[in-house]
Amino acid sequence: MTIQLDNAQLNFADEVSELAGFRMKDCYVCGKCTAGCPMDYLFDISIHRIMHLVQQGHKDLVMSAKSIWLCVSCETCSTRCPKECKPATVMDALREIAIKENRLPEEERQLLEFHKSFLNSVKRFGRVLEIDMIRDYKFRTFTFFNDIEFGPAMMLKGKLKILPHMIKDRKTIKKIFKKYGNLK
Amino acid sequence: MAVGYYPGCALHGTSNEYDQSIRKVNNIMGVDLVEINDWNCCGASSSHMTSHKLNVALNMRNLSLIESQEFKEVLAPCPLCSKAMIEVDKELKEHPDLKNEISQEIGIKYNNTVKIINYLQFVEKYYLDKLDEKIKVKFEGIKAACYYGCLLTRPPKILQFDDAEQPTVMDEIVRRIGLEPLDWSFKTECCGAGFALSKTESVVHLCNKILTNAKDAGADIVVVACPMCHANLDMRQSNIAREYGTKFKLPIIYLSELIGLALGLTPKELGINKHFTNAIKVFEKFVRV
Repeated sequence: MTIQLDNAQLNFADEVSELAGFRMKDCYVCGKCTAGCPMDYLFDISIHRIMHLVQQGHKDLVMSAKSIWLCVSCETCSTRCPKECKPATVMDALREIAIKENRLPEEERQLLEFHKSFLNSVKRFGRVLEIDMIRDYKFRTFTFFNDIEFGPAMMLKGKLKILPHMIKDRKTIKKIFKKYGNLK
Repeated sequence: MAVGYYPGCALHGTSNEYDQSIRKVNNIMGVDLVEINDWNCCGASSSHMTSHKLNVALNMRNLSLIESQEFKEVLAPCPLCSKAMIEVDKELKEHPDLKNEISQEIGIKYNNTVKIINYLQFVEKYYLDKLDEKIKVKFEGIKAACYYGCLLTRPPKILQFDDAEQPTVMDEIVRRIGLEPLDWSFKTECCGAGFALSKTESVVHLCNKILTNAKDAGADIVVVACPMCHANLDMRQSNIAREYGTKFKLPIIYLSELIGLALGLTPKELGINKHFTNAIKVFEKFVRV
């Protein structure tokens, strides 16, 4: 049986290899990465399968997986890989490609929205002001009432910083985001 | 020679008791610790999860600042920060073309002269040989599960610290303080890290597993050295009770807070009263409350 893969998909393994900094073809799909993955129970496609699909050039299938957004970057997979592959870095690369090509997650969209809220705070102040990040995130995702019980307790305990510390050199931060930031 | 101090955003925010206890302990131990001037966020997970070069540039600015402020060694107590800066330092050394690109685009220079250390390394290097003479409290019978989390030891090739599967550095420090470190199976199992808001159920699920194993091993307390791990394990015990029915009431304490108690500081001075899960009761017999 012959499986036809068009050129765009054949380049996918090379594209990911380049971004992730190792050779995708080194992976022999042993499954050790999936065996240690703490988020595998929520994934639609397990990490070892994603590695194999990338090798075979199944870009559309990989890009539509919610797994890539659910990866928590614990680095257990990259630590245990017997071939010194870096599945955790592959997940980073896949997210970056997805953002560049505007292939946004259909499910678990809030995971990407969180990154936007977090990085918006960094862009604005140079540091994350948690209350600003949380406010931004809740407005993006309409989750005003989640964890609302923590708010008053955290304020009373003095754990919630209200005023931002704005770093002096915000100009450089803005330059960094202008050149390398990719989220809207 | 002064050691630089990079607290990171969490230690200035929700996890300020980690910062508070580090400083209070250091006042007694007498190391010259100076905060880096005008540091920026390391980008935590959100930067490298979305744009590799954004992560490199943000951390290159910090490394460049540290170098220009003439620190050779910097303590970064949050493992997300320390891992980010160590990884970027290594990448810039191995990829001079990337270093030059960012240097030209952003106008920051860095010569790879900075060493970043985590809190365990800091305690090992600067406190351990003076600790015995400064300890005022003799603890007895407290069993501690030392929880390292993900980024103190992983990725091992980059961090080159302790053992990535069965680390023992924190256990040895805790033993010197007078607690009984336990042999348990979840020392480096992920707590869910930055998903506390965006996928809370996963944090509740993973923390339940960690605390179950700690409890089964006989832990009276869990010791941590990461603000994310602390926030997740400390704050989500009520969520765990609602979801899984188990009421752990297992106190989660920062290593710096534990050292502080051993040196004779009160829980309030160290910020232990700010925890969501009571971490004072377990020490009531030994310290002034």
